[in-house]
Amino acid sequence: MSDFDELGGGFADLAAVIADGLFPRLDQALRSGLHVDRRAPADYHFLVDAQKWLEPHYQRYGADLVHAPDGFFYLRPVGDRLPVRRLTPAEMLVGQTLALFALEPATLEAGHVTRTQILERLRDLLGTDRVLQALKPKTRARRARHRAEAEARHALLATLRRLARLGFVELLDDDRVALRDALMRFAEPARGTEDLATALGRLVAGGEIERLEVEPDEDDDEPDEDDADDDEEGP
Amino acid sequence: MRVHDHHRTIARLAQRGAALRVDTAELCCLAAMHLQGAVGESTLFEEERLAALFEATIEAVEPAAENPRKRATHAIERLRAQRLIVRLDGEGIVRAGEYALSPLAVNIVERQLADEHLTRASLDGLMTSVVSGLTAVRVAAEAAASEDDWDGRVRVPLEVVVAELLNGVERRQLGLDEQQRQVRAEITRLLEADWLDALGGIEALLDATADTLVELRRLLLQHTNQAHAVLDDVRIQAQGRGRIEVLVALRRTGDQLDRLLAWGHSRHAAWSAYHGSVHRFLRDVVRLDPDRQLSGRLREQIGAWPESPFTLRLAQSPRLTVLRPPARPVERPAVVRPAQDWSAPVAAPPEAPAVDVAALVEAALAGGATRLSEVAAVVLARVPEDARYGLIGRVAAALAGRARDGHGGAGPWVAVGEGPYEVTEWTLEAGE
Repeated sequence: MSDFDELGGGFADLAAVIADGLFPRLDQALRSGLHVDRRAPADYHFLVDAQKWLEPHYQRYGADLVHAPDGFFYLRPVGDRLPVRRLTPAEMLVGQTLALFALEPATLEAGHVTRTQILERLRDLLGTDRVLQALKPKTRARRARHRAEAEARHALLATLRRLARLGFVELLDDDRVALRDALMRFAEPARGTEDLATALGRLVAGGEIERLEVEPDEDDDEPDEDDADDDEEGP
Repeated sequence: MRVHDHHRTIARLAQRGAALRVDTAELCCLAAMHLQGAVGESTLFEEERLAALFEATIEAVEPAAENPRKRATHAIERLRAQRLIVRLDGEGIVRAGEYALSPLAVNIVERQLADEHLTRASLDGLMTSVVSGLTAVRVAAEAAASEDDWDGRVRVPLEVVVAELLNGVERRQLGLDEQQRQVRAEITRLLEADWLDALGGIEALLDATADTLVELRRLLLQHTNQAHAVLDDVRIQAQGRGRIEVLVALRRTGDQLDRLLAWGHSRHAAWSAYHGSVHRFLRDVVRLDPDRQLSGRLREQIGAWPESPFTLRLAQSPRLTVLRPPARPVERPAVVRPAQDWSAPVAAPPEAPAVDVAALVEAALAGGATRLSEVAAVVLARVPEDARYGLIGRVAAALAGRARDGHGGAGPWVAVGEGPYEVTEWTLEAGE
């Protein structure tokens, strides 16, 4: 807890925080992985005021209430009392790409990015096959390219919806995405001057991130049994 | 105009295939015609002079054009077809074969050439004129004694003079919107070009625009409040005299004022949000990453991610186990039938008593029966009751050849004897 936070706080004790009308919804949202930034001013300022009391409260549940320097709050599980959610490869790749957009003046001017821009940037960074593989792992190489593209666009929309539920972005419509401050969590390893491996090790030790196993490439010769794919979050 | 009329008007336009297609070179030609007037030249063009002007303009804006003369001729034809250039002849006003811009073309060109930005001075001047115009309308309304006074000195000034002034403000609002868009583009350009060194210039741009918006909003609020107060006075006068058409004009003017104010609020709010975003960007991105290394490192991170993937850890609320409401299992009785001894011989149905229908019919006819119902009554009386229903058909069959009329079901329904059977009646031919 910083000195600045010690100075703040409009609540007399934890009971007053819990009795506030905002607490039940925010508590539930934070426990569901939501990031709260200044674009939700009432929620954000409630957490600023209540931070002094909520930090020890959540520590008893094995979680840190983090107030990031970029100006957002989130709950980071450190023990095993709270279930941990791990972002999927698609969410990680899209999140990192959006963080890259957030650093660009052109995004500042437009105020949003589009799905097409995101897909194009992902292709530039990783190549088409890798992007399709990440967004739609069940897509087989021999599947028609145009169909794979359409599925990738649907999968991207589903990924963006999940990131929006976590407070990383805001969907203005099915095509335009406004970026939120919490996206900078995806850029955390790249910050500072240390090399990437050292930064990742530090963040793993702090419970901020977790390493994933590298999955072997899918065997393209496997029979394609799931042509009628499970597009559970299609448009 | 009612919504219904709007639909009809739009449908007529669509049916007529109304369209305007003017490319850059053609627009420049129109502007060249218009600007001739600005330098004191005649804005009426003989055919040859018009073609020469178009050719020169096209050569200037499209140096690569292969045949400017031909291109000029086509441009003139297209613009004439769209009634942007009109040929003034046939009415003796000017001699035949001269061309001029149509009012539509003049509007298009003036809009393109106008540099109409909403500044403190222009807004103050226009809104002061609006309030002055409304004040004059109020004086006229107080003194109005006749219908002509109300119409000519109150309604018309409201609908024409004040509305035009407010339209002038709205046109300049569009100019200010464009100006803001340019400021945003300029901030992006400065950041792309100079990054950390651009901070001073960007902050100055932001502050200047914010100051302008704050000032415009204050002026709008002040003038619209004054204008509404005057409108209220005129409304009281018009209500007292029952001037419905003036009340309608007052409502339109009030709506237009409210729209201006709402525009001011929305632009102020939008700029505030943008202002905040830029300052956060400058603070969190530009100042913390003066050498712009973070973008490069993040690109490397993304490129390396498939080989050394990692994921963010987030809290996740445990899934609540929601038990289904208790439901009594539905008993579904098996679909079965009692076992039977299929090997037992099936009893043959009792044989129907042999009845000589033809003989009975003949006997009835011989007894004087002349209709189907009478014959049937005689025959049925001589057989057991359970055999009667089936027998009626056989009686009818026996008499089919002797029916004189009613054969085919068109006759009336008649009871057979004392019932309960009925037949459609046939009259029979007399026996031989």
